[in-house]
Amino acid sequence: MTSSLLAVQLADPRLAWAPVVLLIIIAVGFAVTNVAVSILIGPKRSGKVKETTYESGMVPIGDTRRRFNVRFYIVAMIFLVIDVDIIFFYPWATIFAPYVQKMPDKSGALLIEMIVFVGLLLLAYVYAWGKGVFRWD
Amino acid sequence: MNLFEVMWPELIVIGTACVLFLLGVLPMPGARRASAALALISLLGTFVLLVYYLMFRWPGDTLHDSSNALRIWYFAHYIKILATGIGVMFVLMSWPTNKDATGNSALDFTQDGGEFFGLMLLSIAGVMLVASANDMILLFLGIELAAIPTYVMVSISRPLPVAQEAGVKYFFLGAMAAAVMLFGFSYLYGTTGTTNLTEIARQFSDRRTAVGSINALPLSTWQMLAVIMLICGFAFKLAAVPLHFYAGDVYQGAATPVTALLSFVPKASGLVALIKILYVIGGGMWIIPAPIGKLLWILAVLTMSVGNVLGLLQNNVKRTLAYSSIAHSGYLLTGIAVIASPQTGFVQQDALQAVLFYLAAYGIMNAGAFGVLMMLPSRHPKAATSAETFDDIAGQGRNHVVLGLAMAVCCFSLIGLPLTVGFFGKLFLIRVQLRGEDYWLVIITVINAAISAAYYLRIVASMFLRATSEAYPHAPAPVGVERTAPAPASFPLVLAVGLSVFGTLILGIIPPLTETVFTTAQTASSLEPTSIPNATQASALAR
Repeated sequence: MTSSLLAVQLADPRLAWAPVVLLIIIAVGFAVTNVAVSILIGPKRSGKVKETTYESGMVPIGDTRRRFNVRFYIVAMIFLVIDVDIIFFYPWATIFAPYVQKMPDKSGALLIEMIVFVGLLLLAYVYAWGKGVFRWD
Repeated sequence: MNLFEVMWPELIVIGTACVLFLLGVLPMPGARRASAALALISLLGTFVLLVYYLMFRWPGDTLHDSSNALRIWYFAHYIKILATGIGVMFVLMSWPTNKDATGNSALDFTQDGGEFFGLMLLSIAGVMLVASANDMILLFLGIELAAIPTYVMVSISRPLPVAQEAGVKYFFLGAMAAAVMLFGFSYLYGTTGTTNLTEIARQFSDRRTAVGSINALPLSTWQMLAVIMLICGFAFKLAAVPLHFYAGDVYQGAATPVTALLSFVPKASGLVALIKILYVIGGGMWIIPAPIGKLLWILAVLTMSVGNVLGLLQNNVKRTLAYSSIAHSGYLLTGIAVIASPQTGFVQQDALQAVLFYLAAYGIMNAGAFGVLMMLPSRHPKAATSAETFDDIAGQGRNHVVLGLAMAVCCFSLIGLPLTVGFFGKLFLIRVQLRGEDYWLVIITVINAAISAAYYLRIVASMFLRATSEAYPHAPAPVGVERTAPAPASFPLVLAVGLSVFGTLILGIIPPLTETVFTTAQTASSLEPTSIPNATQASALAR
């Protein structure tokens, strides 16, 4: 499965990273070249409107350094609940399939463990919901 | 082995905590009144089940799960019985009645009751997890599960700036200590390649055998660093001396029932973790490297002495009790220092027995002292404030003789006077110090007990010998509350103080009962049935 996807067996395993290195070189090279080329051959005309901050075509209002509503942070914490969920889901998912194949009788426990984990996180979510975290008025 | 069989006490307590949190978001406020009862039932039920299991159903072998991350032998079982038993007293003390009279807690229990008791249960479950953990990760999670709910409880317990300050201080310092501890765990993992404590103990024991000398240091420099960082983290939980600075402010800032919880639950988690790590470092045979033994000796002596001397200087009773709890950590650490001493024979086992007995004694007698404080009114009509200063309690012993006597019993026990459980606690500790031939430690402990008498007796003397202070004239009592009158006694609180005083006295007066607890502590002083499983057993366990 996972091994068949990455089955390109190379003599030196370090060579397996060669495409990644190549990609990084291309990406950095592309960006640097574009910037350099536009500096070199682009026309240089400045003006008042051109020097304003670009915000989706809007005229900027005020400063970004202001207080945000504390609810943003609470929502960010709720996001963390789901985020942590995914971090644990991923390694679990990679071992679950081989586990089912190797010892099907014991894989139920693995599933139950994950259900308990998700259940606890859902509980936290329901709690936050009940406490009115998503109420915005 | 069935996972449920291994961790049902934790599952019951954590499950109830989850139910309590759900109760906290129900739209009916009346439902939250049941939260204290639910918490009490779950803790009491777990306590009874654990005792029953120990007496009638004990399998005669360790209970452990398939990956050997949880491992339960008498030691873990003893700590769990202790945590749930003392936990019952804490629930009774924070029972949501009587909140306007003495303000033992300003929580609106129809609003926050579910959360408060849910957090309390989680904290107690943390200690239970620490007791049964046999894996670094689980050990760390258990310690933090015991600590993190207390940060929240400190902050929500009183609507006063001082409680917020205490909560924030406790949180940041606690996070720092947790980080140092985690750093230590990471080095231990990095140098041994496993998180399993049995496996690590076996590696240390093997290395000692390979060197051939029992005195050879089996720890590399990095491992030594790791152990010192771990001791640092545990010392914070214990409020041992270089890391005790938070204790005074936090204990004073929190509401009194929360202070009572703080002086036992996080402490127990740190102590148990310290014992476990020492056992592992000693290769399962308590052969602790000499530098670590010296470090713990210094820590114990400093903690006792500084705690007691600073206790003398306070004029707030809760703060005095905070420093007294630091001093008691010091007494517990003297036992740990004997465990870590290079003595051979069964001194280590006896020392652990004495420490475990002292922990139980401290839990029982300490709760009563805070309980009496909660029943006395404060002269300041501040929210959630029971008696705090020496002026508050002045003369109250003569006004309410029973309360005064209860406080006297608890204080005498905390000093270690005979006819109380505290006497036997100190007796057993000093006996193992003598058996460990550590005469300086004996002398310092006895001197400290004498110093501590000064401030405990000051509490008792204030209650009986001083005249009642006038209430502040510029601070009128809230409507409907008679400040100078005794608070209408809330039955659960009276029950908690009664249990504490009764336990303190009966364990001090009736020797067979003391001996029963002491023998239980003796069985609990073995962390494993044999020294440690050998390689084949260990690999069998790992699979």
